Amino acid sequence: MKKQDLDDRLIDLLQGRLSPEEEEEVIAGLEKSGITREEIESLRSFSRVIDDTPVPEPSEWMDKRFYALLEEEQRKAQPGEPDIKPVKPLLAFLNNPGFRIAAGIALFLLGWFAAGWTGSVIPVGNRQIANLAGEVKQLKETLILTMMRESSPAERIRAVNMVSDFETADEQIIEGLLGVLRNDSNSNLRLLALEALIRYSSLPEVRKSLVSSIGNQTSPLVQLRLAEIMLALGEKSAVPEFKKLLQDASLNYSVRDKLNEAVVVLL
Amino acid sequence: MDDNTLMTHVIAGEIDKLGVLYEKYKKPLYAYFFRFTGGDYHASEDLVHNVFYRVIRYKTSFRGHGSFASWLFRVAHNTGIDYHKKNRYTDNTRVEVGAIRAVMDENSGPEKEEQIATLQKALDKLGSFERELIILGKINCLRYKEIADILNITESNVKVRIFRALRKLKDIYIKLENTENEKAGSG
Repeated sequence: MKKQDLDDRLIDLLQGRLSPEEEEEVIAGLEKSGITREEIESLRSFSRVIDDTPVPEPSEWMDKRFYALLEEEQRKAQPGEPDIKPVKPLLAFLNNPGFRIAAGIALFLLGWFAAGWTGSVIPVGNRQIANLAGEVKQLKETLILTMMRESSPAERIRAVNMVSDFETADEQIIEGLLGVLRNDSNSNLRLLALEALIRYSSLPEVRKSLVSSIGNQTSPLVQLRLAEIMLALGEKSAVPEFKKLLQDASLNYSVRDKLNEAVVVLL
Repeated sequence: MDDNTLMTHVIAGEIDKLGVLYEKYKKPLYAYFFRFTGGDYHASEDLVHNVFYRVIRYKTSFRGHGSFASWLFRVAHNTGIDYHKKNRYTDNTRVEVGAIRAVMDENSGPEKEEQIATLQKALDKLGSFERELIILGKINCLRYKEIADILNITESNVKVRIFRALRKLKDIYIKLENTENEKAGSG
């Protein structure tokens, strides 16, 4: 029997899926490489031990978390739907920095309109609208930066997602995103920040920071995404960073393939 | 509707279809992480959640060339690597008795409980690649083609390596069992 045929039938032998003739052929092949019939029998019994081991079941809590995530995603996919949040203990929201800043925005707007109605300001002109929009944007940016520093990953995810509301983001927001990409302990958040930063990748400083963040990444998904982005941008300066990563013997093999591809294409 | 078609709908924005895929794969994924984390059921639930989070986030990276199961378990494989990088200095050879009891039916006796605990300890002593092969092939019962896609090796290689890993696991298991018996005998 050829080695390839033997290799292909090893597991079938243990699972009892071979005819008596085939079984004898495979056993004879194995005996030639020093594996005895007794050992094969013992392996079969052991294989049954594994098959008989009950498979654990997850709790209902896992389902609840998944369906909450799904609901959130569906809600995000439907613009204009009211933002319904889970009910929290009475007044607990007062401690939320997001609420405090949002309340600030609301008070500011209320004051501005009240002032307009009582005639204490000059009739609304384009410049004032622009000023107001600027103020609101600034407050929103402050809210995002505050939320990015929150200990809860869920708050930080919301902050990073909020960045996509801006047509253009200022230096502080971009720096905040780069900070998440470089230092956040949660790899999902680092990926999310990376996706948000793609919009600003035409800026030379952002490109430079993306390249310098390559060495900080340990998550294969983030490394893969960075390789894809650098390839799409044709960013040659990423090559030395990729080469450094390739020296790591424990590097994920899918990442290794992608980085090798990126190095060849970019050089 | 097959898995790949369902995923195509998810990518097109029908995110609710992911619920069908979740129901189908939540138990195999949980079993995968349960064995992979040394029986840590809290971490396993977190990891399953992370996998589906990544599926939503990176759904467009599913090109439909291979099976959805291969792609999903590749995401799980990467999620597991991240977990182990973070927990490389922690002892993951612990086997939570509560978790073992939770998976046994009422009629199972202490012998079965010991068998499960010994198997888990033996799995923890295998190299991570061999452990993953056993988990995917023997416990999750994925097809060899799918395992080959997940681990980037040929189908024949999967079969040979599972066979070798089983031999190694059996030896470890027997040694552990003998040690336990000696302890019980001297106690």
